[in-house]
Amino acid sequence: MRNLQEYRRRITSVKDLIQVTKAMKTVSAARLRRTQNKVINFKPYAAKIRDMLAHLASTIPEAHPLLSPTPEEKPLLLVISSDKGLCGSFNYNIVKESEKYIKEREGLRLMVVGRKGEEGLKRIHPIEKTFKNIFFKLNFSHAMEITKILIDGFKKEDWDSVFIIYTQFFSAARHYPTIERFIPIGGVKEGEYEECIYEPSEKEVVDDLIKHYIELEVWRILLESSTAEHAARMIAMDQATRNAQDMVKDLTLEMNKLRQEKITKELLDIVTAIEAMKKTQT
Amino acid sequence: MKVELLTPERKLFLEKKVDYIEFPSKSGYLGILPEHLPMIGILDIGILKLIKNSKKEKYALEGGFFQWKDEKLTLLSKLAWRPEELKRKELEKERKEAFEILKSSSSPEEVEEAAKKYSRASVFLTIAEG
Repeated sequence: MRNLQEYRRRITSVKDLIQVTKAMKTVSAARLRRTQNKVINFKPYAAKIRDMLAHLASTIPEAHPLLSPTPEEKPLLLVISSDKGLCGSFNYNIVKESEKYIKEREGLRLMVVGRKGEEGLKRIHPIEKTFKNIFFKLNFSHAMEITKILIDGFKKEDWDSVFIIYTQFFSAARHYPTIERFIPIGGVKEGEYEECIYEPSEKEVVDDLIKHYIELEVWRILLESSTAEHAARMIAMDQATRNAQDMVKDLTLEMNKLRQEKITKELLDIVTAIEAMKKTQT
Repeated sequence: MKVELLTPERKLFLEKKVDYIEFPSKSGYLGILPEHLPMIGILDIGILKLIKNSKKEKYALEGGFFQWKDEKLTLLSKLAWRPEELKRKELEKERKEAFEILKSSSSPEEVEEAAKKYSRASVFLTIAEG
């Protein structure tokens, strides 16, 4: 049977744990707000770029290679996970979804963002490149770096299409892994637009704008995945805090029972002793 | 006429009314006065100058796109700074590093990269305050 000392020690250590999980929850909540702000700031910019791209798509005579369909026989898969754990089933879901996709496709090449994705997928499929530690200080140059690799490989015909698996963010409690085709770009609406001047030339503007559009899509996905990660961690830490609080409650109850038992026993001992003494006196 | 400056990470200003705009396009600095024809183009690294009631304002831009339509110029820059956000010391260091590479390196790619960095740092230093 446990003694009181042991109970006390366990209760203190669980209480310390609560402080840690609570702090982590607060940090995640703050980070979640910060990334959500980034998403809000990014939206008008992305809308304007999409508008420009639509304008250009309606004026260029022949379709750009990045905009026209390909056989999709040599796909590249980019998996967006996180660098750190303790975020519930966030990484597990991503790895499971990727595994399913990898098994369906042959001749697939794989790149991963985040350490956790690498750990989960390296046993299943060789990984060509892992982008590590980018979520710690996420900024737009990360999106530029990844896009450069994606486009260079496409131009060299290392792959003819790019798919991305990432966690789509709907709300703090709702985020699921999703797969999207990235390259070639689909769904650019053509609109009616007036003539205009291109500076320096139409071809250069089109090339650069398409590249930038992909950068923005990568940026959007990194932001979304990062938002979902913070939300997942916030919820996981909230759950952990609650579990630990329950544990403290249970432990305290058990400890009190034990203490009462001990007191009763001691009282009983005293009473019996007194009774015995009375008997011997008479 | 109006001008707005956005980056993927933040809005610097929206619908600012100005009298004259000068900005770095890929084929050199462009000045815009009212009633210019519609235009779409690529931004280069350089300084954006705005004049309103003979008061000047400057911003550092690094690449991106611009669109002039309906008397409004939309600048979508990949990165942009206000003069007070540029760190003089960091820029000087960057310029020095690029200069060293330019002197010692022989690979054309490296030289091109360094030349870009050198000119970026030099241009931004002209308006840097911090």
